[in-house]
Order: sequence, then C-alpha cells, then structure tokens
Amino acid sequence: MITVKNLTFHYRGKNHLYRDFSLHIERGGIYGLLGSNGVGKSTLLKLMCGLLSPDSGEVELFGHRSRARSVSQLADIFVVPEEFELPKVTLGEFARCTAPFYPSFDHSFFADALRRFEVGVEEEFHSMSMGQRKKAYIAFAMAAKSSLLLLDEPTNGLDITSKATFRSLLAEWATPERTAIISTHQVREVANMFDHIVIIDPKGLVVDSSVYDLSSRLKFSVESSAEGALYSQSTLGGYATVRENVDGEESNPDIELLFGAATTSREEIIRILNPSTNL
Amino acid sequence: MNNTFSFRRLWLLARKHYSENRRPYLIGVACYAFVLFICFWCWLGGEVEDDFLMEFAFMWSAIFIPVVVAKINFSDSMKRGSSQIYYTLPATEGEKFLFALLNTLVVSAVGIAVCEVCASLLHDATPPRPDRIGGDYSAIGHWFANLGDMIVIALLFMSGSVVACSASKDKSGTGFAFVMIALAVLFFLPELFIAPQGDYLISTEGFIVGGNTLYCDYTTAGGLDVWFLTPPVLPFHEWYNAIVPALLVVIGWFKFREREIS
Repeated sequence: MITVKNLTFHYRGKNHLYRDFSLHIERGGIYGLLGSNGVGKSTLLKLMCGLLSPDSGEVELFGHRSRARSVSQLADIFVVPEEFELPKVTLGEFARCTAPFYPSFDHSFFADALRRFEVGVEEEFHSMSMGQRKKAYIAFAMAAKSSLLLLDEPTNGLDITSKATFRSLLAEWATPERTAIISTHQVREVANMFDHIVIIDPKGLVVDSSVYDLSSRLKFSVESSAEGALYSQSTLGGYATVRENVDGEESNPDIELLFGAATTSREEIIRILNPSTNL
Repeated sequence: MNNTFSFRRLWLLARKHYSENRRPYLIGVACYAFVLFICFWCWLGGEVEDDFLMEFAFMWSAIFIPVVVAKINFSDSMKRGSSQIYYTLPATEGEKFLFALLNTLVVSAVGIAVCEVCASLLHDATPPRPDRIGGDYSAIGHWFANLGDMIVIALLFMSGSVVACSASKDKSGTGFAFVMIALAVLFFLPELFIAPQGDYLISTEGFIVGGNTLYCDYTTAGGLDVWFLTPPVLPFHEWYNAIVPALLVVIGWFKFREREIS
C-alpha cells in the first residue's frame, strides 16, 4: 500500500530527518508509528500523503507517487492532523458539503460515531472545545471509509471515555482492506489496537514488526532482577523487563518497554527483530 | 475516477466554499459598505470634489473586492491549521485553483460593476453641484464597457493575493501585507503620471469612455481618441495590463501547486 524507498528528506535550513530511509506498509491492519519528539513522525505522514516532497528517493501510495496527489488517491486516504482548524459552520453543514468528495462515505457510521462521542450534529465547530472538535473530525474521518487513515496524535485532548470510544470505533472501522497509521506518544491508550509497530529514531528505522513477531522474538515480563535485560523499568512487583525471547514462550508486548529498549539497546533490538541482517 | 477535471467537483468546491465562508464574506461586505458610506457622506456634504465619489468607488472596489475574495479563497490553503485538510481534499489542484480564480474574477467583476452603477445612480440622483463635470455617469452600459478592465484589475489583485498568501505562509500576515502594498504601488505607479495631464484629459469638451489607470479612450468633438497616461519613456503601454496579471497568475499557480505543508 505504501512504499518508502531510500527516502532522504530535510526541511530547509535544518538537518536531515531521513537519510536512505525505507519502509513498506501492507494493506490491512493498524500500524503504530512511534518515535521521540522531533524525530519526524508527522513529517513521514505528510510525505506519505504527498504534502511534502522527498529530497531523493520515492514515496509511493497505492503504487503511484504520493506527491502526485491524484483525486483517486486523495479520495482513498484521510488525514487527521494533530492540530487543525475547521470552518465556522455546524458539523452537519460541514458533513453535507465535504462528504460528497468521499465516494465511500458512510452516513450511518458517522451518525453512530457522533452519538457515541456525544457530539451534536448541529453544534458549530468554533463553539466546541478542542477535544470535541477532534472527536467530530475523527468521526468524519472514519466515516469516510477510505483505505488509508493517517492519524497524528488522535487521542490528544480526548477525555478518558472518549479514548475508549475511539478504540472501539477504530476496531469497528478496521477491515482487512483498510489500514490505519497512528502516530502517537500516548502508547498506553492505543497499544492494544496495534497489529504492527514501527519505531523510528534519528538514525532511521529501529522496529518494523508485527505484534506477533514482537511477542515471539522478545520476552516482556516482570522479574525480581533486571540483570541482562535489554531494558527495564522498576515496578511495584520488581522490574518490568524486555529480553530476547530464547525459550519460545510468548508474552504480550509492552510498547513502552519496547520503545525504551529501542532507545537504549538499538542495535540489539535490530539484530533480534531482523535476523536476516546478521547474515 | 476522473483524475484530471470534473465539473461536479468544481461545483462541490463552490458549494463547500460558500457554505463555510459566509461569515468572512458578510464581514467583508460590511467593511466595504461602511467605507463607501463614509465616502458618500463626505461627497454629499461637499467636502470633496464632485468626481471623487466615482473615482473612489471604483478604486476602492477594484482593490478591496479582489483582495478580500482572494484572501478568503486561499486562506484555507495557507493557514497552518487548515492547509493539510485543504490539500488532501479530493479535488485536483487545478480545480481548486480554477475555482479560486473564477470566484475572484466573477465576484470582483460583479461587485465592481454593481458599485459603479450604484455610485453613478446616486451621483445623478443628487442635485447638480457647481463643480460637476460633464459625462454620462448614469449610463450603465458605460460601466459594463469597462468589464474587461475590471477583470484585469481583479485578476491582478487576485494573483497578487495568491503570491502574497504564499509569502505570508503561517506567519501573522505581514508577508501578505507587504506583497499587496508592493502590488498596489506597481499597479498604481502610473497614476503618478495622470495628475499633470488630468486637466487635459477630463475637460468639458470630452469625457472618458473607456480605459484604465494606464490609458483612456475619450471622446472629443473630433471623435474617439486614445491617450496614454504614461510618458513615452516608460516601455509599456496597453500590453502591460495583460502581461503583469498573467505573469502573476502563473507565479501564483506554481506557488499554489508546489506548496508544501511544513
């Protein structure tokens, strides 16, 4: 669905964010795009949907150059930026005028999502709080039923109930034909949704693995000692650790621990998750 | 799906634009009318010369309407908070730009024409003043004869606004203001050359029937004539009016098309 090949990119007057960066996103599933601040997660989303041009390399979306931003491409993707402004109209009016651009727009899904988010269709955007606006726009984005949904920090500004609603709506939205890429720092809130984790750092790609691969190659557990662990955090019961899974026993990946390990033991994590690189 | 051009999408863009921008248009109309009202009030009180009403109405309309309409058209594409949404809306950039261009041109031309007709009717409906000059102000056809010039002016300011919007990017709009001032100076520079020749051009023996700030067609007892307002040392005459806006439209288009959301 998305192929990033040998991407090099930098903003004018700034250092390179990406050098010879490659990534492939398959159709279907929910991808978590993680990385520390300023590493280029939002930039990568913009490159994917053609809002930025790479210095060199290619970014292909549905087999075509993403920068072409053809109508058929745009009609099949939806971007929810971290911060955005919406026109000073009611949500209903916005939907009436914008939905016809999206051929697969599902009005009943939209109405249901709004009901569950407790957002009124006759409310005006400018009278909504940031969280309300975000919920309204996320509901619209999901109702567009595009093949690719790009969400940049979608849970920022949402209250606890709304975060749960977001997760359940995303689960209903997801099909084998649809892909969502979620860039977030708040991993605990959406970690259970991810089928696939991508972690990037200033040097490039660190993790590009399915949750299944993570659980089979890494072991996440709470132990009394953190000795020899790739990464650990002290908890009430001892140490939450992440180690190479040598005994074959699967465990639920803890994304925060994984992120810590990717930061402190970068090379080890790459070696464990990409055995072919050792050849 | 048609990836090149679709009238349906153009219509959807128009519907979305007018639905979402009612308030900016209403505020614009209120500001525009307020300034015109002040102008009319001053004119009615005899504080300004007789021809001030017509000249000011035209100048004010020619600058204000295209700039405001273009700014409303392009504000979504230039603001940091809304540009990602605007540029990922499923319509081609050509359709988005064409709609903005047509909207600016049509609204500007209609706005200027309506304002001129109203001003001329007001002018002729009031009792004559001693300083009233000759001329058939109330002839509506006279103002529609200037439609070409109105389009040129609207095009100039619209394209200038695109360049200006791009220059201002996410900043406070100072870039926009600077480009617009530069454009106004560029366009109205020839006005500096009009004043010394004004007495000759606008005389009781003839009146202007067409033209713009660079030249005018006028009638005298001898028939129709053209007078270039710019001195012959300047290497531009009527083609300047076509080339500058066209150039700005092209620059505006490339700015619009190549714009990146950083």
